[in-house]
Amino acid sequence: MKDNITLEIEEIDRMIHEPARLRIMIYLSLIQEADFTNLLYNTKLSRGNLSAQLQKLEAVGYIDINKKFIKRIPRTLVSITDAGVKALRKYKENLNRILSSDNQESSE
Amino acid sequence: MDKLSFKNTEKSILWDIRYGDGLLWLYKGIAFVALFLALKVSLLMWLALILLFPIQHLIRKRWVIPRRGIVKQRYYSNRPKYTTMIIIVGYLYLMLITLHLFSTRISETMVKAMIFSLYLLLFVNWLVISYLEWDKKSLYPILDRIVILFLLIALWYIKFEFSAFLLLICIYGIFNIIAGTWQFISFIKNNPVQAHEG
Repeated sequence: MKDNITLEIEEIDRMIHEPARLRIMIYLSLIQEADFTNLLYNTKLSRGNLSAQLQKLEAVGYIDINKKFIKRIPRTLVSITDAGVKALRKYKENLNRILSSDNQESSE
Repeated sequence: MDKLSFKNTEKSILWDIRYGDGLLWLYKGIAFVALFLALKVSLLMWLALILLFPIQHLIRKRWVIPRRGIVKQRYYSNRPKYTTMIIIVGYLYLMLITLHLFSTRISETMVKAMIFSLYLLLFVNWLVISYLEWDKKSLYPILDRIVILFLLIALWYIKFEFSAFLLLICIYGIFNIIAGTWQFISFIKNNPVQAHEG
């Protein structure tokens, strides 16, 4: 039978837990919208990696990707969805719960 | 273990979005030098601040956006575009009209006091906001407060003489121009221009 901490770890959203995607999600949760260049600047990921991570996040509905022409320059605009905000909040809560239960066990 | 906090990361990100390019400090410095010129030379010098908006737009388009891209901040998302510019230009015109209509009744000293009070309000607002948003890494807020303290001590020693007080305003403006330019140059140096998408 699985103990509580194992169950809680299993609840961790792997889609967000990956460092590159976590960085993207935290950044997007703080702003309304950013273009691809801005995400490159902030996440310091390579173009290929960023593109792949964005596609994965879009596939699960955590972010919205819109392609637009702004002053004749193609721009990919990315924003977090409500589902993304909820998932990130839940991820933070789960992580905090695991860390606090780990702390309780070590102090006993 | 303490509760895991994303607050520091979030503060760093927001600080970089707002102050990373140093332009706000540069504009703040220019605004203080303009205040010095307006109070010392001519009130019309203050109107030169209107030029700051197209220049700001040009700098962003030419040097900032190619490096940092476009980001729409959450706090300002509901605010119509150019609201700040409209408010400041509106304030300027209101002052001009007031001056024109009541030039016999309203003295230049009163207008100067109006401008000064606006600055004081913006300045206090700035100090509070920049402290709340500080990422605890940037040296600017510390230097800013040291300079303010130094200027206040200097003001005490010069016994609040108006012309010397104006000079201190100018020094504060120059400090901000230097800090902003320094930050802007580091931003340009450390962040190469990104190729266009597609």
